[in-house]
Amino acid sequence: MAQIVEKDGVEEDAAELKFPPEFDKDGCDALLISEVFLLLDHRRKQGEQKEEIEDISEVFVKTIDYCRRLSRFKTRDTIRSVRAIFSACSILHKFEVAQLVNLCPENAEEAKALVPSLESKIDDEELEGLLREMHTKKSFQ
Amino acid sequence: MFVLSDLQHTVKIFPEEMNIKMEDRIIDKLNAMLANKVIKDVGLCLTFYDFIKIDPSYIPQGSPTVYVPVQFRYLVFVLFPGEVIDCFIRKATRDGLYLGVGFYDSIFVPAANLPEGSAFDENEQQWNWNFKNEDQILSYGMETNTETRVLIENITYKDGKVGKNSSVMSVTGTINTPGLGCLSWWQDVEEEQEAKE
Repeated sequence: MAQIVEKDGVEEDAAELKFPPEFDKDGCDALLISEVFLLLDHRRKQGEQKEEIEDISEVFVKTIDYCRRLSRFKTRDTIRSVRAIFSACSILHKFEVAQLVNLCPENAEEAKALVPSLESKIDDEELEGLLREMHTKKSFQ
Repeated sequence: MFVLSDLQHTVKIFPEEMNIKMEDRIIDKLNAMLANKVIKDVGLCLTFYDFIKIDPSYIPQGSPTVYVPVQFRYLVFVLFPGEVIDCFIRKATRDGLYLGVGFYDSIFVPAANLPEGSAFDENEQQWNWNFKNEDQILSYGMETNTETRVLIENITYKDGKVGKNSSVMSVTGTINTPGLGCLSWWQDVEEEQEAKE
């Protein structure tokens, strides 16, 4: 079990969806690794097209590498449809959606083990339905 | 995970810097200031995402510098206690395992948080998970650069200056639960089960 980190008396624990206020704000989006890869790759290509030679920072390169290795959904369209699968289920927190897509569990049991906050909020059948749809998108891209 | 954080800052533009479009200059300056820096309670800043608002700029008396207050979104990498992430094994020592994502390699899993039956091989400088399966003991090596799933337990931010080798953001995790650890372990199990059926 994760330890509960106390900061200024406020407990943080993703298993209970307790996050710092900056993250909970509407304006703070949780991005999928696949989304970050497309974003950074687009930036990289833009940089290459510019006439002046731009230094790409080491951090940028390492971030792209990580995202390329772990990205499961390759195109904007696929990502959009995966997002649509989960936005149909309004009880899911943005953290939970990002985790389910990034970790891509095979079944409800695995999903609830990796994202414990799902345990009591969604039944296995509904969750398996979402995961099946997501895996279909992954197989047919 | 990766998040878009709302930040704000007043950017100073000097006369010699006004040779390119103002938005581009502001983006350059924000990236120079923030990229690869850890902001306490925000996370590791990676790159500029977009502007929310550029407020009217002003020039204080006696100086040719333009001050531009901006609100913007920045791509940030942040870890939460209780979050599971996929990363890679970077280094093994007697004390435990160091995991990372490339741009941040200091996720530490102390020896106590390794799966039961793990032992450190001094010759190979590698941790091995010795798993007892009925009568056999199967040994799974935790080699560098293997994809591993870790549960984040604790994140602390250090105040003030830190040494060259340590990071402002200090993270510990565990891989001592089914489903965590090297991804290859769990794929093997699934393949074995399929073979039995």
